[in-house]
Formats: sequence, C-alpha cells, structure tokens
Amino acid sequence: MKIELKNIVPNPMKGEAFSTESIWGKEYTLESNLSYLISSDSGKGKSTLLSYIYGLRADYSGSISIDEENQKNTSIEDWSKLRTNKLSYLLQDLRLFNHLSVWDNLTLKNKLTNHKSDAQIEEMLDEFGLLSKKHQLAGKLSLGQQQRVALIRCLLQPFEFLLLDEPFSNIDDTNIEIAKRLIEKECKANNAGYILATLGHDYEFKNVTTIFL
Amino acid sequence: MFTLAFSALGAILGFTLLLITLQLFTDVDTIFKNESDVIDSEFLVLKKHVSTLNTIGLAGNTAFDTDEIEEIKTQDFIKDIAPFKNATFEVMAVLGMEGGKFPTMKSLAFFESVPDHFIDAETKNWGWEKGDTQVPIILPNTYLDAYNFGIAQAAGTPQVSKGIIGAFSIQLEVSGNGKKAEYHGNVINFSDRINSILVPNSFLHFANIEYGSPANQETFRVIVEVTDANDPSLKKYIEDNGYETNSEQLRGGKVEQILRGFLNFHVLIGIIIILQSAFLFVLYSQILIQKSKYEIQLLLILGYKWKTITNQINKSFILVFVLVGLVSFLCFGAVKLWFNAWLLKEVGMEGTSLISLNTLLFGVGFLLLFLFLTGINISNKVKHLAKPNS
Repeated sequence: MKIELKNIVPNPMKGEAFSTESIWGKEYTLESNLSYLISSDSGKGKSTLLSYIYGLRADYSGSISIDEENQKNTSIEDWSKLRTNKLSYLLQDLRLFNHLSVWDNLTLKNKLTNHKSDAQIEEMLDEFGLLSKKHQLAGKLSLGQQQRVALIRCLLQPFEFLLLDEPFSNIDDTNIEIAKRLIEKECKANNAGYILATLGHDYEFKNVTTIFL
Repeated sequence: MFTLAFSALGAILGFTLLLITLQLFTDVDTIFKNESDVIDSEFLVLKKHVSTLNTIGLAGNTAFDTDEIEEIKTQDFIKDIAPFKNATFEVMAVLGMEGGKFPTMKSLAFFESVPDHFIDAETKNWGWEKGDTQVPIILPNTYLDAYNFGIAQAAGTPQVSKGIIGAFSIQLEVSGNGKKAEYHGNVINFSDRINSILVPNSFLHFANIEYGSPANQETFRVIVEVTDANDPSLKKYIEDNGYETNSEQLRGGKVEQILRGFLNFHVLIGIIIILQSAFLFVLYSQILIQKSKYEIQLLLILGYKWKTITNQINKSFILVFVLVGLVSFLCFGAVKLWFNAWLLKEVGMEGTSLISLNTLLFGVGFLLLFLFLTGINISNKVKHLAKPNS
C-alpha cells in the first residue's frame, strides 16, 4: 500500500509556521513495506494525521491518496472495505464498548473477516495476562488493560498498514515488550507496515523511519 | 422507552381510527350502491324555478333551450334525457260516469307527452293513430289520491280504485286555430313518476299542428334518467344551475353527502393523528441514533458497513410496526364486530363484512409508508455519521 500526502495542512493549523523537518504542507509518501514513527511534541497533529489517513476527519487542505485514489473521493462503502481489509487503527482513546465483555469486544471485530480463530485470540489475551478477564466488562478494566484489549482488537483483521496512536501510554515496560513483539509479528504475517504516533519516545523500535511534524 | 411507548400508543390510536373510517367509507358506499341497484336507474323531472319576477313578466320565461338540454345530456350522471312536449291548444275535460252516482266535473286541462320508455306505467293500448276518437291517457297517481282523499270525502262520493277508473268517460273538447273537436279520453294507467296528464306523442303531435301552433312549443320540464339519484354531484349540478326537482328523491343524496362530510372529517382527524405518530416515530428514531452515536460511530470505525448497521436498527423498528399494526387491526375488528351487532339489534340491518379489501390494503399501505419514512430517516442519519468530519 502506498499513502501519498500532498501539501496537507490541517484547517485548525492554517497560518502556523512549521519546522523545516515537518511533513505538513509537503509531499510525503508512506509505503507499507516500511514502518514509521511519528514523533513530535503534543499539539503538533499526530492523532490528526492518523485520523486523516483513516478517513475519520477531512478538515485539511491538500490531498491524501491511498493506492493512487484520492481519499476525498472514497465512498463510505469503500471506507468500510479499507477498514476491514487494509487499514487497522488503534485510537488513542481506545474506543471499546464498555458495556460489552472483553471477548465480545474482540469477536465483534474478528467476525467481520474471521481473521483469527478463537484459540488464537485467547492466546493473545493470555500473552498479555488477560485471559482471566475474558468475560469481564471492558468498562470495568483498568486503563492499561483496556489498552491491551484494544491493541489485540486491531490485530484481528488483515491489514497493510497498522495505525497506532500512543499504544503504550498506559502500559508497563514488560507489557510494552510483549506488545511490540506482537505488533511486529502480525505486521510480518500480513506483510504490512505500521505508523506509530508517540510523544518523543522511540520505544527502541528497529528499522523504523521517523516522521516529524 | 417512554417516547417509544407513546409513539406506539399514538400510532395504534391513529391507525385504528383510520381503519374504522376507511371501513365506514366502504360500508356507506356499499349500502348506497345496494339501494341504487334495486331501483336500477332512476328518473327525475327537472324544471326551472318560477319566481315572482317570472309571474309579473320581468324575468324571461322558464323554458329550457336546446343548449341547456344538450349540456345536461353531457353530464356523467345523466343516462338519458327527454323534454316534456306540451299542448299548444286548449283542452276542456268533462268527467262523468253513467248512472249519475258521481258528480260531473268540467275543467280546463292540459296535455303533455314524453317518450314511452320514460313512463313507469304499463303502456298497453298506449297508441293513437289519426282518425281514432279514443285517446289513451295516463294520469298522475296524485290525481287519484286527490280525488279519493279530498274530493270524494268532501262531496260524499265513493272512492274509486285504479281498476274502476277505466269506466269513467272523459270528454275532451279540443279547440284552437278556429277548429274544434271532441275526443274520448280513456285512462289506461297511473304514474308515480310523472306529475302530468300524458297522452301519446302521436296524438299531441297531430293536435298541435291541427289546433295549436307547434312553433310556439317550448320545453318547460325535462325528464332525466340518472345512474344514481343519490350522487352528490348530481344534487350539486341541479343546485348550481338553479333547477328544481322532486326533492324527496334527492334526500338520500343529501343524507349521503352529510355522512360523507362527517367521514371526511373523521379521515382528516385519523390522518392528523397518524401524521403526529409518524412524526413521533421519526423523532424517536432520531433520539435513538443520537443516544447510540458512540456505538454507531465505533462500529463504522471497526469497518462495519452503514447498511448493516441501518438494517439492524430497522429490524427493531419493523418489530414495533408489526406490533402496532396487529394491535390496531385487533382493536378495529373489535369495534367492527360491536358495530355490526349494534346495527342488527337497533336498526335490524345485516352488517357488512368484517374488513374490506380496500381497508386492508390502505391499512397495510400506511404501515409500509411509516416504515419507509422511518427507514429513510435512520439510513440518512447513519450515512451522515459514516462520512469523515470536515
């Protein structure tokens, strides 16, 4: 997958002066055989860029093309297809169904493509030490636990790019290592890349291209 | 839940009312149609209103001209029309009976004629050829009544039956154009429909030429055959043109018109309630979507198609609508059964079928319209949420 950013400037940031390294207002291409780390201070538009790529927001000038198709022409039906098979997104605010169990939250995503078997999902939960929480309501989990459930959920589909917005902000180092391993394993299996937004922390990822905002 | 319950109650009320009204419409139609079928087709005599102005000669006369007759003929509710032909000569009738039990009456008379098929009495021996001295006559029933219940009582003479009337000899003294002739009138029958002394067309034609002036012949009354004397548009037409007719015959039309007026009002109220409940449902679906905005957006983020989400929401609404429909039809059925029982007990009339096809189709049609409107509203809202924010 190729994501081309052409002269993107978010409407709320119009008129601001960007640093020379910043990709805002410039041309930049993201390719799914690579992985990227978006590093910047807060308020520079990390989450904004990811939500543009995922089609949740369109309040920008310039254009974003996914595999040469201008996003602004993408129909809502095609967005569903992209979000089911090509793009996966872990939002910063996690977005779990709080009144559903952990298991229901995960299967709700998995049943769109049946990408993983129940055993595989349980294995992932187990790796994160969450198997015992399988039937607990998502809203009753700690923030760190919720973040791990949301991370598992975004791996339950085929994808070419994995968009991760501050995926480790609430989890401890041990679980960060588990998460990194899982992300890299799944990206490799899907022959995909990831775009990870972080507040200046590089989490010692190897072979990543850093994007500045 | 409260909004849903209220919307559902409103819809049931409105829907039941609408079904009852629709059914009443069909029933009234059936009842009035049945009456008309018995009579097959009906006849009315039209004339123009004679006012004081006509009497003192300020307004024109009240004759129908050819254009007016042609115009009446073109109306949908008119099957046939014929003018009354009147005599333009003088007639003196002398009524008497052999044996002297009855008084001899002498009166100025008049003749008219209409085509035979407009006459509601047996027209055997109804014919006249030049040279005949006997002229068959048809009298209005009201004349016989006037004699039997008026003159006979006052003069103390016996009442007569229709059968015996043939025994009366009516001497007709016809005069005009300086000529004079005598004929024997022979009452062959009585008519309910036509309030005039009828003679065969051939006699009138001959006598008008011989003793009168055919050029002066004008049409003051016309007889029309109508498909349905209860037809409100017929009544309106008669009123609009300032014609007069036997109002008794049109009373059915008036009753039907008033009834239909009431029913129209009923339908209006039913439709208003229906629209209000439709509005409530649309409002409820909007509130539901607003309340579920987070869930709907999240499903869209996860990759669920907007159509899948819309269908899921619509499914729950279909259930509500099916319930509303079922309860309304049950309520309607109960009211109809009660009404039929009341009709049989109080009026002695057999009620119509429980539900007519029209009512059923309209009812189901309205339900589908409800569902369609709500469905459109839901799908628009979900589609709106699926679009990227800009």
